[in-house]
Amino acid sequence: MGIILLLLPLLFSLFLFGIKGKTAKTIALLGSLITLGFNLFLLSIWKQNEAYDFYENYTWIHDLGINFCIGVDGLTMVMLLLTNILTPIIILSSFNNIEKPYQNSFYALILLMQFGLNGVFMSLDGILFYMFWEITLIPIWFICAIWGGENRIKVTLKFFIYTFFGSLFMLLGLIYLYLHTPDHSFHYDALYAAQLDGPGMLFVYGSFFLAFAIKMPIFPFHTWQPDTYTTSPTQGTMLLSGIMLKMGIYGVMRWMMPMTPEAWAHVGHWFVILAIIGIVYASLIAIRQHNIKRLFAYSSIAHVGMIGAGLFTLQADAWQGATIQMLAHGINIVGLFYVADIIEKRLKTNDLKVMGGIAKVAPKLAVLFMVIMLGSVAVPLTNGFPGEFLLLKGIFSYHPIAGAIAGTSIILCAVYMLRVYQLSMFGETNDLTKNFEDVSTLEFTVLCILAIMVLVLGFYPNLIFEISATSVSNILMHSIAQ
Amino acid sequence: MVAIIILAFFGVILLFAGIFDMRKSIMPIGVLAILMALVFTLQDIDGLFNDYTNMFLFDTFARAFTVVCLVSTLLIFLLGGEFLKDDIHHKGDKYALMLFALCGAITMLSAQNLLMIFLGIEILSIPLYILAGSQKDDMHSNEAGMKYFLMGAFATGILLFGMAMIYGATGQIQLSAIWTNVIADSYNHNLMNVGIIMLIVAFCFKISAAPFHFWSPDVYDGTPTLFTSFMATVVKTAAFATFFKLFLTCFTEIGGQWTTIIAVIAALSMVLANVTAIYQRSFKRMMAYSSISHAGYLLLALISLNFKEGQSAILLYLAAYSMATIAAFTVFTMIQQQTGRSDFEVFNGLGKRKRLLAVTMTIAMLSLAGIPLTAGFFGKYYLFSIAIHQYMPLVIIAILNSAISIYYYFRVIVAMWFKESEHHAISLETSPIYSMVAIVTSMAIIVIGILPSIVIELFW
Repeated sequence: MGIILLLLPLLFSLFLFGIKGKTAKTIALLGSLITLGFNLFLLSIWKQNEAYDFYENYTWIHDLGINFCIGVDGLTMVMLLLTNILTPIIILSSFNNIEKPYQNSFYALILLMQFGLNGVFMSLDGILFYMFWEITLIPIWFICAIWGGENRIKVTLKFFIYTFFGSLFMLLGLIYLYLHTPDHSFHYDALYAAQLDGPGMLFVYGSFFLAFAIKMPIFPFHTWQPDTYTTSPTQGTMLLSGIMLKMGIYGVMRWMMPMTPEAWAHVGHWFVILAIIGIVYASLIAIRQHNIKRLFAYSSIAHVGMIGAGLFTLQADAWQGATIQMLAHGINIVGLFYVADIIEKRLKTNDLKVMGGIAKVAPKLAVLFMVIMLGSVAVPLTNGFPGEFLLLKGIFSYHPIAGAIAGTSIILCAVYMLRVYQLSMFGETNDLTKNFEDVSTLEFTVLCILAIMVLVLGFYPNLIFEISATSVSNILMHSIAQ
Repeated sequence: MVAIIILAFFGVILLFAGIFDMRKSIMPIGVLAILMALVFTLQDIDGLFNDYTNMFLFDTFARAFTVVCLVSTLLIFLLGGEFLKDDIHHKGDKYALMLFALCGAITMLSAQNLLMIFLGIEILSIPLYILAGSQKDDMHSNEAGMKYFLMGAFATGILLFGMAMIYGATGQIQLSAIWTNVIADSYNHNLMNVGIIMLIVAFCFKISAAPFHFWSPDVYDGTPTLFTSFMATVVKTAAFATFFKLFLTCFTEIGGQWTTIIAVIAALSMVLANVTAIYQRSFKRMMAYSSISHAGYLLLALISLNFKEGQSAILLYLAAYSMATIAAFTVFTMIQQQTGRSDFEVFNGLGKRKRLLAVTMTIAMLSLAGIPLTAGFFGKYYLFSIAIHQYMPLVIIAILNSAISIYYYFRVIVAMWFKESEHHAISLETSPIYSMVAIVTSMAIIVIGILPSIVIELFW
């Protein structure tokens, strides 16, 4: 059953490459909605076993112990929901774009991306995981480099080489694990059973960290991120920040921590420190930014740094928090970048200094922006709150000082987010903003869906915990050395 | 053996074809020769002629690499139909020379004896010296021919000297006999060491590994593009497979003495070639440096000192590399013929003008860079996984270099898809043969990329 979730976007994507004309976006939206529908269907018949549901295992390359093996557990289900809910929203958000050349390829690449992402989250075989991991890189690179803004080629190439470099190390780590498996197989359970000595274990741990830290990104591997987010077309940024960086977080949870649990005691603490440095560093930079997209990019580094810090503390609360925070961050950041895009389209600038008074002329936008922004600040009853709260609780019980420093991010986040809101929405209208049109029906729909999700998850986070809690604590149990 | 006889026979026929005004049938005859040789090699019908008194053994190892060489040549021949169509006087000779070179390649691959290896290398090289300089009215081609010949002659001298040393050390020229002496430790150690080093130098010249690579960018650049692709694929495959066979048959037990040298050469080849490739302005020179860096990756197989896994690894790698190189050269040849230029700007906007060519080139570049779902990924995967035990630092250097290589391979992709065509760009015409080769090679890259085992299971 799970394989249909891969085939649907792939087939729609290949179909879209072949067609011409304006129907492309409708077909793309339809395709992504069908995938979402199927995903919800899977959720409804999902039995939530101890092991994986919708498990499929075919031999792919026998000599190398590579299998085509996929399965869905609670964590995967949340990630699939994130991917398949956000993809139609991202496609819908592009409907008000000016017609671009090769429209069909644009949507085909988005769906190809969806195929790769679903694959990453479902893979239970090391090489399959690696392959899907790389497959996602190609379409996003094309999306950003063809339809991106100024300087796009240089920026996207940096992004590509950076992430490719990291993932090659992951490949090396996987091969190393594989060579130590008892039955020479890349299957998740086989890799998990591999017996490693001290240095080997640290090597695998470190190589996985490099790949996932670059993807997330964690300080000091974040340098590709602000440029890429700023340069990419809005839909590309949404895919990158909303879904793709979650691949890194998911990788840490599913692949890095459980594979080499003993290594954590040696270097895990350093990773917590790096992540916490990243939180404060990115928040401080965000406060000084005037470019609205860049500001959101740095805020994303800060939020992801918090998730990273929580994961590396190996606290149960933090892990549960990280799961829901992944979903919440995906929804919020997509909403924020969409608002940035709406403002940029009307004003032809990203500069906060020239904005002001938009709330007076565009009240609907102001309200919806407010909801999403509060979600990002993690105000209670929004989706950001349960995640951040649990993450901070986990980090506190790991080490109070770490918790205190990480906690400042809540305040700093409020500072820069409210500053954006104040500078753009409040104040006097000026010549630039006085003719600002309020949101169109389409934009209103997209923002409304996002805002509703912000509130629903804030009121009732158990929706997600019910799905993921058991399997996350299972994985965590494996990740703690006996 | 039957393959060699067929190829040599048809080679002679092609020489006469030039005289008897059969120009139109030259390419079909060449293709027919290769197809026949391919059938005989794959079917192994010639069981009778496989073993010649310990001089020559057409075993599965030889067969596997012969098939790679034959398929590459077949595709190059097809391209030749278009590339050489204006060549009235020497068309037949050029095809014949490639067939003779192929005979040399097969001889090397099946040699069981130092002398046969030497003979094979010479039969392979001499036609190539001529082909490199075959465009007589072009200075660069003359330069290429001259450089290749002079450097090649020196390398051959060193090779022969090295073989003499090995003979002096062990009293044997038979590969298996040398191996027996090596494990019995009954040989002159000093002579042996000098001999091994000389062999390494000579073979590294042939596979163009640093620091013996200086000839290759000039030669690749100057040689007519069709023969460049022949050099980059067939010659590389044959020379590397022979290098691998010779060293891992004879000297595995004393691997400690020479693997360090190979490791240094491998690291140098990767780093120098990749860094230099970034600064190239000509596509052909870039491909030359790319070929040097791939030689560096391939040397990882030698270091692994594992014949059984090593041979699968290099077979897959060389097949993947050959397919990608031919795909890239197919597209490039076509553009170069019509524009007369070889810089990166000619690719600008190709994605909008000629979809098929741009897609083929993209697949080729992705494969050379080693992105999953292309053949190049599994090539790299095999090499890394066999070398990871012995030389972890070297594998890490290889990985760093793979990341660097993205930069220059993707320059082509960037030019094709993300840049606008120049104003005065000529509209390109695609001939059906080129399109066919482009489709075949890109399909091959994808199929091997998804199911790499079919290449290996064909033979082992």
